[in-house]
Amino acid sequence: MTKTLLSHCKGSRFRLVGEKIWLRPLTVDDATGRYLSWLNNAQVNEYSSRSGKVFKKQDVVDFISSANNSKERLLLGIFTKDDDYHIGNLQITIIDLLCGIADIANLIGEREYWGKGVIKDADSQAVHFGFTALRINKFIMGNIAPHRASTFKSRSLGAKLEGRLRNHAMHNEQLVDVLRFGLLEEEFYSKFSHLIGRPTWTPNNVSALIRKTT
Amino acid sequence: MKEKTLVPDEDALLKFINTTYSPTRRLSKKTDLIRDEVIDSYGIIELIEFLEETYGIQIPDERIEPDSFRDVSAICALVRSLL
Repeated sequence: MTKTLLSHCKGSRFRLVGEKIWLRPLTVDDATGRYLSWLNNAQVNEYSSRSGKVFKKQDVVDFISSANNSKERLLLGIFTKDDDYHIGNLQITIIDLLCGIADIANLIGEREYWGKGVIKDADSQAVHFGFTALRINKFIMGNIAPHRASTFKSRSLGAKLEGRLRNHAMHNEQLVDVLRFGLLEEEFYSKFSHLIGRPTWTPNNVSALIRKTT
Repeated sequence: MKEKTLVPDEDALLKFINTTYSPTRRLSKKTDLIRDEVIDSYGIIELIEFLEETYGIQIPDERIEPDSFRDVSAICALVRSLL
């Protein structure tokens, strides 16, 4: 059910519109040198599994193509509303179709936009879309314990800490815990009640299409 | 980790927050730091490091949530609970 819905969002004029940013599906034309520079930036990837790896432009092209050909993944670019500037990405991945469980992850590559509230804006729009239009039952997200910014971000969405995987990842040559969070619809809308009943995606017929296919 | 030699002081904390996050707009102890987007997921790192260094505490992952840092009073309560 939801797999089909994700595919309807791709390659279209689909947009998620937030307060500061908007999101749209990426194309290979978005695989710019600037995007590549995010992946090879040590500070941007300090807490990521990308840390220490070297990426080439073809890797970016392959990543976008793979996501766009996948029925389980929706890869969206995050763009500033003011000047349509690509500053990062967000990805929703369906983990369990039967139970409606999806993972959400993001990256803000342009560091000048750190601390500007764009992650919260992007995440809340994507989660709102997921719960309302995609009929997601639960979002999951995770980070290594030293990545306290990510912990705070997940809790800001309303997510609950559901598990700690002890000594589960390497960070700065040390084993660290991995934290797993879960977010239910009621938890999210208790913090983002202003979004209830307010579709923030365009074109409007996306939701109509979804109703038709479910 | 430093020894626990200080108790949380609202005035000192407010001064740190004003200096670090809002140099042009003076905040009050009642300012909602989360709702008003004074502190976000990136900004929280500097505040946590300041609190842990200043008061010799370790803020557990379970306490890293918006309500713990909602305003000066909430932050002081968090620190007191960890001393």
